[in-house]
Amino acid sequence: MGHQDIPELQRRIAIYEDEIAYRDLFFLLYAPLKRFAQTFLKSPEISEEVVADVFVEIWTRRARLLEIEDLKMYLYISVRNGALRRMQQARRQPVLSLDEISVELISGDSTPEEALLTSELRLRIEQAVNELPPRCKLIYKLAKEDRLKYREISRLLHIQIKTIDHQLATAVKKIAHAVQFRLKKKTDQI
Amino acid sequence: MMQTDRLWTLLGRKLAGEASPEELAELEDLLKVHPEAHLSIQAVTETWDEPLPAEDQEATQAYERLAHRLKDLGFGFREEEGPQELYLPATRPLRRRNKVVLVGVLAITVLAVAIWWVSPARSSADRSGREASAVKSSVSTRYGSRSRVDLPDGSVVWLNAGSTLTYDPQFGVTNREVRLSGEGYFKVVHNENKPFLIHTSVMDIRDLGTQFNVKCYPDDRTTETSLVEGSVEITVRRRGERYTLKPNQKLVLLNEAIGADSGRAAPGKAPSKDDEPIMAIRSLTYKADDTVAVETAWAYNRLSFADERFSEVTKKLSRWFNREFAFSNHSLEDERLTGSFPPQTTLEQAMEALKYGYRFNYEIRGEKVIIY
Repeated sequence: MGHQDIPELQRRIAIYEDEIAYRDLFFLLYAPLKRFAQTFLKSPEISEEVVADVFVEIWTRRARLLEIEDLKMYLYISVRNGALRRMQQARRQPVLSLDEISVELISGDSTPEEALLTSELRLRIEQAVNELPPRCKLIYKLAKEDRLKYREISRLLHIQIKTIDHQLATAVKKIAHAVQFRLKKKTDQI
Repeated sequence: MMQTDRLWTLLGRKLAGEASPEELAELEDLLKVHPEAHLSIQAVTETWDEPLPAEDQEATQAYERLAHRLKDLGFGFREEEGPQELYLPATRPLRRRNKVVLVGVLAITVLAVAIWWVSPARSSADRSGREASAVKSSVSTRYGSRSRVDLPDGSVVWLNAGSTLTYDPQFGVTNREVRLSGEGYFKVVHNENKPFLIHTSVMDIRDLGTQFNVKCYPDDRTTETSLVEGSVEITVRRRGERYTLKPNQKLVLLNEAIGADSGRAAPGKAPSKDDEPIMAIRSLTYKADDTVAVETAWAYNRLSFADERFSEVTKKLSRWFNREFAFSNHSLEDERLTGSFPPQTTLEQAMEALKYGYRFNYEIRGEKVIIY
């Protein structure tokens, strides 16, 4: 089950009222959507609520679900809007300010066979990622973890594709430099 | 410096899946003149491609809360969690949304039906490895539960209640043979060189690339193979004959002992609909507005029967709901019933619906259901 199955799940939910497809859709996107909400809201509980609100709406409107052209984007945008509404309610800055968000990346599953990515290097990379400016980090995260395309990120964050391209290059460069630095230092010691 | 900036831009695009073939070629060329960047690029790429840890546990809990909320909102929504893999994609185009087809109109409230997940049971001998080659793997389902079995070759079997599927540890390596008792829906990955063979007590089924249902409960009147898609070849062992089915056909074989039994029970009775031939090839049964055959409805989580003897229907009900059924009025056994119930229908709901359509009474006494 992957993102390519979303249109099929959408069809099953709309036509068959298929609860299993609904559940599959939830399992496919709950974690990334919640992490996305948490970027703006910080609170994991409220983030879960925002995502659940969106999924309640999906089931409520299941009969008309096929009218949605790109369900994955629809969910991301709905979560973004839901998160902004919650921020408004909390009398916080209602405008999406990409400089005030807190982006948390999740560390990947380590595979012990990998010779190159030692725990030391991994730490180094994590540190470099964490030091990225919030906007840059969010773009890196959405492209890497959520596998969103440039145009999708652009729609979601209202930023230009050119900016995304540039920010991602910056992120990649900084991470690569952190690794290079490490490798170089090691060679020097020898 | 400008050149390395270009390198990072191109690498970023490549990772994000946004690079054009020309850009990928350009990146290759740049790498040739910047061998020092190789290791760091490899590290960045590996980091990028690392699988993310599964967060299923958190999602499961969140889903339970969501299902609860939907139920509170008045949606007939199950709260039950746990793998629910009994869905099979429709193989025929859908004309209209499936509705409950049932004699009499009945509002059915939806309640959870627990579906037990049975994982392949491996014996300890298998694990010790000493007798590994001799030990067969088997998956069994209890009454009231169904299960999905993923075989090593990619084929999938959905097992109905009260069934056992046995296969060799060498399955997929030297052979693709399984033994079935009960009922299974097979979605077989075709392999020209290794035919998929299913053995039952009376017939052997050889797949020729395909989706089909095999029903061979030892206590049923008949053994049936229903073909949904593709082609199967069936050998009826005691007749030594081979048959090839076309899609939407089924082969029905009267089980010997029970067949003889029912003949004895009706002496002097004129031939009726009940006197089934020893063997027949028939069309699958479709109800109006339904794209799923009655024979395979169970694999879609629906309990379904069409014009079947009450005594056969109670066998289905018994396996489905894990209850014992008995007739105190035996004349009812030959009544013919039709019904189809959506997932999550409870025993009580099913019995009330049937009672509404056919004249009989019933009483549920603990684990036993008495029909009179």
